[in-house]
Amino acid sequence: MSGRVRLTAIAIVLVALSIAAVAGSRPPVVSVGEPLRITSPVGTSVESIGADVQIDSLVRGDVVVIGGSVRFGPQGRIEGDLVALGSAIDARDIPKVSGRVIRPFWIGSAAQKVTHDYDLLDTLDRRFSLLIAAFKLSMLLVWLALALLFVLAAPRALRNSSLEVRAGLLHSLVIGLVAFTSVILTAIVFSYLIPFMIGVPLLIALAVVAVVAKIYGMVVVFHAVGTLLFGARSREELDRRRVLKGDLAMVVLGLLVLGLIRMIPVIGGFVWMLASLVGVGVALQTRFGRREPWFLSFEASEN
Amino acid sequence: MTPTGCDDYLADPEAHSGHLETCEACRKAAAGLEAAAIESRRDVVPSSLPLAPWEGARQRSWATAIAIALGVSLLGVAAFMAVGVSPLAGFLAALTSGMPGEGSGKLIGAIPSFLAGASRGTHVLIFAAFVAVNVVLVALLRRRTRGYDVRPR
Repeated sequence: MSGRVRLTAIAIVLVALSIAAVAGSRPPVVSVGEPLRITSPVGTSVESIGADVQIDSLVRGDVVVIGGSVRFGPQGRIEGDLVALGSAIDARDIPKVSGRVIRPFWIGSAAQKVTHDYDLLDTLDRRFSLLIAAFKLSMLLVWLALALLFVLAAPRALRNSSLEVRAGLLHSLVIGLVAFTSVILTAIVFSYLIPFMIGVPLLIALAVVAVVAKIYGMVVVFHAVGTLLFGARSREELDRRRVLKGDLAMVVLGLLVLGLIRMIPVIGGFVWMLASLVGVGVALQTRFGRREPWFLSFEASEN
Repeated sequence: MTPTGCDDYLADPEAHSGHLETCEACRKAAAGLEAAAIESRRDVVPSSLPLAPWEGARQRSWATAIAIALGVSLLGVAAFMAVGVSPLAGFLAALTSGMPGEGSGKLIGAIPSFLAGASRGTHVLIFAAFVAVNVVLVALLRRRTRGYDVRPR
């Protein structure tokens, strides 16, 4: 059997298996953009996107909610997990979930993990909490380690990108915003391919690119902020300095400033988000500091 | 038309320096260029030039990095201890909260159901938005980067 035939056979088997797996599982209750109310017991999972979910009866499976609030009636209960992304949950309803309450990519889930204090859930984003400050300081250390890695591995690229941020901040922000929207939409389009196996590797590749762009971009923003606030303005000043000069110092000082701003409730999160968007924008704009054009344009020959 | 000797001289002035003795036009051009070069060299005072981004950039101020890392660590440990949480457990919880976990798997697993349950209009909207946003992104990325000739803030 030739390699191509074998490959085709494997692909057919994989597609058949994935279709069988999808067909074999019990279909969930799904709502897209329309409020969902569970009034009678449901033996499967409930999934909702862009709409509120009211649970007035028993749900035996998981409940997955993206971008909508979750409310419980007196008889409402979930036997599985509640996974909520960008959703509001009343802390008093948490005991009605037999499984876990999972809120991906949210620092409050760390607080929940170590304290088991569900009252924290509703208030973490709005008031200052020493515990959350401690988590943010921990994350600052992680960022510091990542920043050191980039400063040692690619200082010139970092400097190139930092220069670009300081020369065209708004342009980087706009690219970051559009790129963020593009990643979300591309992820949704790749999700159409999940039943055909290729979707998951594509989603993983997209996630890796997005995460690397975010990390590199944030380190660039640290460098730009550090240089703006603490950079030497003249050669004489630079010569006089013994400590506060060089890429490493600028990056860690910028990180410290942004990290301290991040401690401020509400405003801190907003500033950090803007910095992330600028970072992603400049990472793409400068091709990770290489300053090479994304698209080659050929000019017509003069002859 | 430029004589062949002039072309050769313009292509490699050092190899054809003898050409200057026979060609008045090239002699004048060479004299003008030398004068301009000397004048421009005289004009430049290196210390008065603006600070370039790479100047002093290679210095690695480890003292600053270590001091900030220590300060942040101490503050973090103190904050964890003040709320009665083990610093190590708190650090690990913070680290894992930012990483994709089981919740992300369940979210990704739910997307095909969302797509299957969406109306035809929603599918059209998703693909139209996908094309439109990526066209805008490509247009934005076509702009050249600013380069070193720009004075950063």
